[in-house]
Amino acid sequence: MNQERWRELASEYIEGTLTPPMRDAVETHLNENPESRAEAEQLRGLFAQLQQFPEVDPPLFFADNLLSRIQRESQVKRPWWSSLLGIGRTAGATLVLGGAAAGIAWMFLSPQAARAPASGKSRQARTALLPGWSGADRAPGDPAALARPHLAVERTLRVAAGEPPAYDFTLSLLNASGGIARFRVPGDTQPYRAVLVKSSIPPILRVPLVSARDDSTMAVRCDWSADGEKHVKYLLVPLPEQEGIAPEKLSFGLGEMPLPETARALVARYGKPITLEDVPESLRLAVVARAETLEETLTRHLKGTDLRVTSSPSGVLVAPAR
Amino acid sequence: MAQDDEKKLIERCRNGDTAAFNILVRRYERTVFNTAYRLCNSYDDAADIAQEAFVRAWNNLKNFRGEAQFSTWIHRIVTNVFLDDRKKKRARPTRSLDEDMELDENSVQRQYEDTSPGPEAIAEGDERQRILQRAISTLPEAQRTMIVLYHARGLAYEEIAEIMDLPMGTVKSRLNRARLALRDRLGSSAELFGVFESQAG
Repeated sequence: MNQERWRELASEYIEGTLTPPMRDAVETHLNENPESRAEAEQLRGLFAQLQQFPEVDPPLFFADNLLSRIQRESQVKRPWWSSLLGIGRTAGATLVLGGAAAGIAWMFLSPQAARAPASGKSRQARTALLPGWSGADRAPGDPAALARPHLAVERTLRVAAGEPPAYDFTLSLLNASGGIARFRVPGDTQPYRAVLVKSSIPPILRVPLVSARDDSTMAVRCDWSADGEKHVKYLLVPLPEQEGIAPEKLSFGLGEMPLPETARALVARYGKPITLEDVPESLRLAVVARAETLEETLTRHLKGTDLRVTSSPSGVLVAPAR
Repeated sequence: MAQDDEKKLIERCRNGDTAAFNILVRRYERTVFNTAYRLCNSYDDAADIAQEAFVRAWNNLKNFRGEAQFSTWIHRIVTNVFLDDRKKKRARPTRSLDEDMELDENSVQRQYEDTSPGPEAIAEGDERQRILQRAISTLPEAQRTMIVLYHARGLAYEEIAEIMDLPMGTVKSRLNRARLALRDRLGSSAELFGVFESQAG
């Protein structure tokens, strides 16, 4: 038996499916050829290693996003919808209708994710609407008012019996027909991705409080895109027991760090949420607070940059001045 | 899982019942996603491939007559989606939106690095597995598919023959060549060989 023939039979030999005479011939070859013998051992090890591949978890909203897409595409494929309902055949109208239907389907298919717990064993406490405005109470430069694509994130504390407490981040896309948001949660090296559809029941990113990087703050980075625009949003929120714990004015110093890290440290001290929208990646800050509120400290340190600090009862927003 | 139950679900899907399809998706999302992940070695690409596979399955359920298992059929689809995807990327090399974002995130990930191992770190903690996965992803697609379906997904030769639409003898010989090719690619990794030798010994 030569080397080439041995290699042809290698798998069958290792799997033990060769006939006895063939197996004997292979073993004779292996005894006489150290190179082939080493190869056999390596292949055996390789087989063992290949069986041990661990499984990975699919993305958090995988099934929900998929079903939304199927619903959406099904609606677009059916022209009779528009004629039946007497609506125009514009792509926008169809998309909105498809999105709404997808959202409704999503709600029914994932009731546990979309509906608030009834009462009794669990409770849901609305703590903040990031990034600091809602409805009529719009901040100056509000992208919603300026008709720019905007990802609104509403944070809710979820406490349910038998489950670890978590923050629910409800995602709503404004002024855009569709988009994608991708989240990095501390402790998870894999991102979570959500497809966003206008007018649909908004998806919720549920992050257990234990995911927080330290004892007081949770930091989530969100890369999102809609209608061809790309944005980055940081959600820096205190854990419930830390929220609003500090006095209004504080004095302290922080070493120079990238802005998201600085903001996280400020959240930890003040117990107040900060949202960063499209801040420059290169910007670093060394903060020295002199008996100042969070807003005063940030405003003073960001003076001279393109960034603007906006305050609301639900937190502080740092975003480029529009 | 009863076969009858699955047949009923598929029948409901054929009639446009998305709730039934939702059950099937949740039943198979993990296996489909993991197959895609091992084939492309990218979490984000795997999410896209797995989603596309389920969409194709939904659109083609009317052609699924039930001669094969649903699991075999969905594996065939995910394999085809992967191969189509590679063909497209070869023909038109582009940077995806996600890839750009991935680059952006490198430094940020470091900022938020947690000292505790995340799920992927736990899953991929073994250096040997990482080296092996990297070596698999350098194999030609057809060989990679063989390795993933047989070893990583634990499918039988018969199922692979059905998925790849090949005679069983061809599957066996191609798989043998794929294993040898993989072993050859690992040849430069002396450490890994050491482990194999000691395991085998």
